Amino acid sequence: MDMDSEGNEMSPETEQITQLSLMDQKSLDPEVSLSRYVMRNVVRPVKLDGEQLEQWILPAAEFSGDIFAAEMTAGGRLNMILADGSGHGLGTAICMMPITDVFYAMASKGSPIPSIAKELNQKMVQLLPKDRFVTALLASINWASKKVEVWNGGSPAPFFLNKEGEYLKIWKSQHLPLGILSSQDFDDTVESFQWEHPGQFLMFTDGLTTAKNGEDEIFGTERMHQVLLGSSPDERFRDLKTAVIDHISEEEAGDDISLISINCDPELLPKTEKKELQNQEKAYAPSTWKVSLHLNETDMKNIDVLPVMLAWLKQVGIDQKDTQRLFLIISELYTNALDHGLLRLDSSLKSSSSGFDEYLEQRSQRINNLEKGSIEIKLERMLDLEGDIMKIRMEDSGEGFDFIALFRDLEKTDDSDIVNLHGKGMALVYTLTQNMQYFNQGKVIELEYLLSN
Amino acid sequence: MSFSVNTKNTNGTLELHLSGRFDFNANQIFRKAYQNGLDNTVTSYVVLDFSGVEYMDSSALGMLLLLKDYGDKENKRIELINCQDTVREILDIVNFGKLFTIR
Repeated sequence: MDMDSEGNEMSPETEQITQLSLMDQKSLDPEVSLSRYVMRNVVRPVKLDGEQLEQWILPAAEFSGDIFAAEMTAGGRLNMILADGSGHGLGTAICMMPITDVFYAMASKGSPIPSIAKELNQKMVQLLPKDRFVTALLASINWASKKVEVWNGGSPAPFFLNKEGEYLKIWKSQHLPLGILSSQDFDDTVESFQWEHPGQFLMFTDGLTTAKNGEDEIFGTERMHQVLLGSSPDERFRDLKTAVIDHISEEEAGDDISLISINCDPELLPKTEKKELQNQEKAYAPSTWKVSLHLNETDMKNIDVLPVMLAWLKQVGIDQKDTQRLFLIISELYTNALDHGLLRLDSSLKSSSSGFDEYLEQRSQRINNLEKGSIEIKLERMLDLEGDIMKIRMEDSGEGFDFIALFRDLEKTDDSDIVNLHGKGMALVYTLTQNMQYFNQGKVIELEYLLSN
Repeated sequence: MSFSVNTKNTNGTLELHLSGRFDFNANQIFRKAYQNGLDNTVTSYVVLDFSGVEYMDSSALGMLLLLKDYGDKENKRIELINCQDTVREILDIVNFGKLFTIR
């Protein structure tokens, strides 16, 4: 949306005039025109029908150091970032560009907020000089589960307001800004809130509260509270914007000002959500399938089941990256079911090189001697709120195992420890999938893999 | 009020007393002060006294990051003391307490 210096929406006519006059001033500087063109295209318009989201961004210089980007996931979750680079003007705007790239790439796939935060931080550490950083708010709104999740690194606290304009939740800054800490030290913890009654989620950059009037008085949080309390939900955004504009009146904004309001009313979303899901169902309808494979002891001796699964995944059009990962997951689960579930092999044998030979020997011996046993593999491709999902279920007829202990190991393992963990295959599966669950003393495992498409 | 730094070195502690507006214009004065201080004295401990600072902006935060980087290379401990409310508020929002000891 284009604004004039008073923050009013421009009519196409005034916009044209402004552009012409800018052309006049800047025609000698093609670099500025080019930069203007690129910066305008850095942020995409949000695909929402307007009722859920209101935004106001007022740059202090020609190029804004504030960036707001939002992307709806297929499952109807809105991922957002509001970032404020140190300084303003072209230099800062350039520093901010990679943020939107990374954000859009991850957010549209439905990546969770912690992963996006971590990736953005790494990118900023890599790109920015030591004395530059970006304060940022990452938030996701899920209308279906009525949940708001926020990662706040150095930004003024956003809040959730009820109908009366009272604060039900305030997300104080818990983290250092992006671009300071190494990935190792980076903290990606988010704080979530679940609403019972519809309300509003409001976020802003510090330019709003520090905006000064002619007497050098800042707008301040107290004035903001008063405006919010004295206003109805429908008018709250507009009233706050007007109050800030009245406050700075003739003054120029000293810093970029951004204000975003999200309407958290489940009644409002279904339009967009249903529309998207319906479209998806249309597009994917032929591809929501179930397949199950039941192998008895004879089959296990004679059929190499993994190439069969691989061929199936390729046949139904799963892309290469997903196929590779799914193959890895399925082969790990199958090996576990067969080697440990049915053949009761001890995986600690695999640790040493001599032990590994022995392991393989025992394995072929035991499989030949296996008198009774079965493994069932089920794959189901489905759509749910999180997106396009492959559900995998594996059941063996063995005696089960202590899966509680396995989970304990998995929970305390981070990526760097995977190599040291005994069941490193399962740790990998755990990081690649979601909702992993064991049933029936560990004889059944179920998990979900989010397809990237 | 323009920015200035008073340097004092006592018992292995380098004290920098900052005063005035700590913003982009302070860059050179600030950097010279801590580099001189750290290069020319035997010290393991740096104390920044903020009592005279009434305002700081994001470039000042950047300068603190550079100081930390400089200090980390030589194992110096850095403390920020006597911050006025406005300064303290800024340091709290960006969580610089995770990088420095703030008293």
